[in-house]
Amino acid sequence: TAVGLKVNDGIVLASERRLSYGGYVLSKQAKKVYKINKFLMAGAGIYGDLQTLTRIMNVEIKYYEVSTGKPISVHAAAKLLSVILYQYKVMPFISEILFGGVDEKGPQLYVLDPIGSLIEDNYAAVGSGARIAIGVLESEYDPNMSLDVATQLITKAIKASIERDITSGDGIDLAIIDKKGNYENKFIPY
Amino acid sequence: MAFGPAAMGYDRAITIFSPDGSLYQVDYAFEAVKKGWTAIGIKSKSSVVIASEKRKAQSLLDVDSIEKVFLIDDHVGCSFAGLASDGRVLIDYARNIALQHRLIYDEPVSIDYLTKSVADVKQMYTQHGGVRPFGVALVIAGIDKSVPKLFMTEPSGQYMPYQAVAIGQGYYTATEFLEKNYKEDLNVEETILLALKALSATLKPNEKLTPNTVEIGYASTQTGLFLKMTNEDKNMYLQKL
Repeated sequence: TAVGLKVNDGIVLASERRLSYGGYVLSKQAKKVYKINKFLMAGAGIYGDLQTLTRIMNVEIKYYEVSTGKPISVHAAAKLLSVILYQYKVMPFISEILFGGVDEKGPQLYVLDPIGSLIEDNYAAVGSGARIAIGVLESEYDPNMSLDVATQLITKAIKASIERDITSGDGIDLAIIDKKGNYENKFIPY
Repeated sequence: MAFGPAAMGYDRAITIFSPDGSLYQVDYAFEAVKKGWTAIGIKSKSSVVIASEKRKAQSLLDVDSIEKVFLIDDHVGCSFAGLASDGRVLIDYARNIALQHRLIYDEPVSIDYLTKSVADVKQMYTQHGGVRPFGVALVIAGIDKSVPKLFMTEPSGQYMPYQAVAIGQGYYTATEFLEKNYKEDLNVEETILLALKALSATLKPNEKLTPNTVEIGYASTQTGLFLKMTNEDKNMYLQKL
């Protein structure tokens, strides 16, 4: 389960750490929130697919920046990810992805499906516990809430999914970018 | 070869340097550019302008239907001097690059990157075997996030940013004129007029620019769009000269 939230003051992405293969917990240390360049990416799905996508994105963003001589915008990076996903339409990366960042246009959050649909949103949840987490976000979300309150809300959402979704658990990873572009990450045992 | 002039042997294959370090075929490509119709690019704080001359080279030529200023994308335009066929191919390439950038990144391509892509192709044609260099120089002008940009690419693959640049037959006179008269702080109208004046300076005393013999493309920071001027508008500006 991964959750993302955009407020006026920045963005927060979070995920729990459980990696399960059916009823078996393969790992309790699976980090599903990544910092790529100055962006955040979080996802749910096949873990190898997620890791591969983050590697591709790291390289592609670097390539964009060295070849154009300018930093890539959040939208351009998200669109790039969408194009990559669509290119693998016949053998897709099994993944639902949240992608966010802050640039001169302010905080932005995007949701992508396995074949690259690209939707900008204020908040979103993906993965096995999404239907539990989204309810928490839905009832309390306010774009004017502070980044601290947003962090608390997103933690609450992940906790709710950990409580009621068997394939979620083993602690919470949080990544935050404020409107000035400062990055921060946290781990909350749960 | 042994009995030919001193240069013989160094201008057959372009990939061969002459002892003084030049590539003769590339030098000859520059000569093709110097024979082309004059094209001028000017960048100011407000805008960037391309003005290009068309000449009735043959009496039955339909000059009105010839294009000399080309749209690459909404925000970029271009003109060239030299072999028109080579120019056309490079412009198609540039349009492709611009479209691909929009497709993949959902944003307009930067003028820097576009120019470099075209110049990279030109460079390849100075180093690979079995090909000849492009006999054109391109003036590429556009707006990058509200900032006017102007570049010129040479047959060698070299490209540089300019405040004002002239290529083709009248390049020397026009450059001389621009060196004397260029100012950065011009509005759109003044920039267009300066380009037309520079182009006029290259004409013979009995010649005059008319809406049919000049093409103008311009992009202002206000709109961010590269537009080609209509004949009515050209007339208005030409009367102000």
